[in-house]
Amino acid sequence: MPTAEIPAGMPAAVDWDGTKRRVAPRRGTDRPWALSTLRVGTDMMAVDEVARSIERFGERYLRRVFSELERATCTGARGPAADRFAARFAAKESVIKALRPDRPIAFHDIEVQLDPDGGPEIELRGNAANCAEALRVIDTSLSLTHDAGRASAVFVAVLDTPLPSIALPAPTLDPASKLSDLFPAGIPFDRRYDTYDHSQEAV
Amino acid sequence: MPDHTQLIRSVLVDHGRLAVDVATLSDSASLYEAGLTSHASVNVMLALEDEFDVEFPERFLKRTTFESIENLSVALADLVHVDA
Repeated sequence: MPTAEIPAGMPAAVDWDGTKRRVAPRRGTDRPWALSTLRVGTDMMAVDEVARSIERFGERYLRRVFSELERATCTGARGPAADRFAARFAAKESVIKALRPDRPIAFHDIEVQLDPDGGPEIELRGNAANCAEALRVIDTSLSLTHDAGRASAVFVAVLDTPLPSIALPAPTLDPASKLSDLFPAGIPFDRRYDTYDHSQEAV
Repeated sequence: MPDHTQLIRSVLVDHGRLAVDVATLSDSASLYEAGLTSHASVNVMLALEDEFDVEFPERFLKRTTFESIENLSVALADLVHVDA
């Protein structure tokens, strides 16, 4: 990647082969640029399963699984919309899959809300919020869909990840090897894994 | 401790949507390995509440409670005892 593509002021992590790589823009941290890790969770739900639960257990089922806001969002003039509830159930499961919690998370700890444009977003509370905090989740994204009797959700969490400490491979001690065999040419050794902004330097 | 396992098995047949015949499962067998999903476990819980006239409190709503017939039986014994 040519160095010129990296904006001034944005640090570049220099990879093993000497290329400079972009690092992700961040929100809500004191480091505007840093490495990110993504966690993705996905789940699919049969709409008729949710419809049967609503029919069999009614409001008791809805109250145990879905928040007041979710129930209001998914209940229209014709009653509860099973496809929309199924999508929200899939969303809750997708969040759990992404966060991989080490403690029980209640269904009400994960709530699907709608932003002003009607797009879904996740609100975490209780143990779900604690788990996200422990993982240093700084941003999330949720997508829902339902069609042909199935509802599914994809949830992405962006984690604020410290720059990794790089473990260099142990050099082989083959007496015939040369230093240039062990380390690729083109960049000084001490700059291969730094994060200092070299973008202004001549290459 | 009263033996609730037969009623639990009956509820699992009706609401567990398991991939295997409930009769073939031991009391300690993993229900999740037998195909119990998170959503089905909600239905099982609600059906057990109806059968035993109890309510599962928040502290019982965790994966281990629904892990096996044995665990469900212990949880119900606790709830039935408390409600008695």
